[in-house]
Amino acid sequence: MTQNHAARPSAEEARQALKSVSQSKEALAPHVRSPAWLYPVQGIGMGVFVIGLVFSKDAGWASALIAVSAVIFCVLPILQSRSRLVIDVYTHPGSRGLAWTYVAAFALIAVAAVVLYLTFKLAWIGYGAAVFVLMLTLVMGPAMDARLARALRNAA
Amino acid sequence: MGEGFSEVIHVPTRLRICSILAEVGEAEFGVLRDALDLSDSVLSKHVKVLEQAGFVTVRKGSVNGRTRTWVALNKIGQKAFKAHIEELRKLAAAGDLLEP
Repeated sequence: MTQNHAARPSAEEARQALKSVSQSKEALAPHVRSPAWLYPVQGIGMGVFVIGLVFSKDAGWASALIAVSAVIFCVLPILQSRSRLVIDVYTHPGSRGLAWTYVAAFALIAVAAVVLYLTFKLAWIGYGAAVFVLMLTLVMGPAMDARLARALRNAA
Repeated sequence: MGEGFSEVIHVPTRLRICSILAEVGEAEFGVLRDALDLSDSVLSKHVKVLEQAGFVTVRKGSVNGRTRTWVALNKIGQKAFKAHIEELRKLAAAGDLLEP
């Protein structure tokens, strides 16, 4: 690591440098956009997982669905690494709050679907929950991107 | 000069590059070029300096038959950038205290 022993920047220079940092973040904002396929594929993966989870005690194919969803979630980051900007909306301070709301909503839907199915034994509960999770992802995914872009713009 | 100040990062173009990389996991070369409005050669030169300083990691890959380059701020770079920003804040704050 190279450390500096050169002239000390003045307070004004330091302020200008900090301003350029904020402006650079702002310049990044228009580029924050996940690939169009990301959230639909993620939503399908989560929906498949929910169906597998709900029917796991009653049907043998349910565990295969859970395995399929696991494969989707393993492949997604690899595909995402080929996009122009690799950014984690789940950990970035600008979108972390909304991301955790999304994760909590997903967990709530999955648990509610399992409990309701075990209570009433109605198959549509599992499929309905899967559709709900897909819709949740299609709405919350772009919303997280937008929140992150706004946070970067507001940094300036 | 404080411990956190980095001459390598403080160069305006490199400070802007690091500012973007600090926000993302990886950025494709073209994104950096467009966001910072730099030419390929200028960006390439500064990325190379940051790479030689051990602050960034450069990864090459192929998408639809075209070679692409991604740049990421590694852990050393993140730490150095954070320390540099802290140092700038201290300098700016010290200036505020001195002003009447």
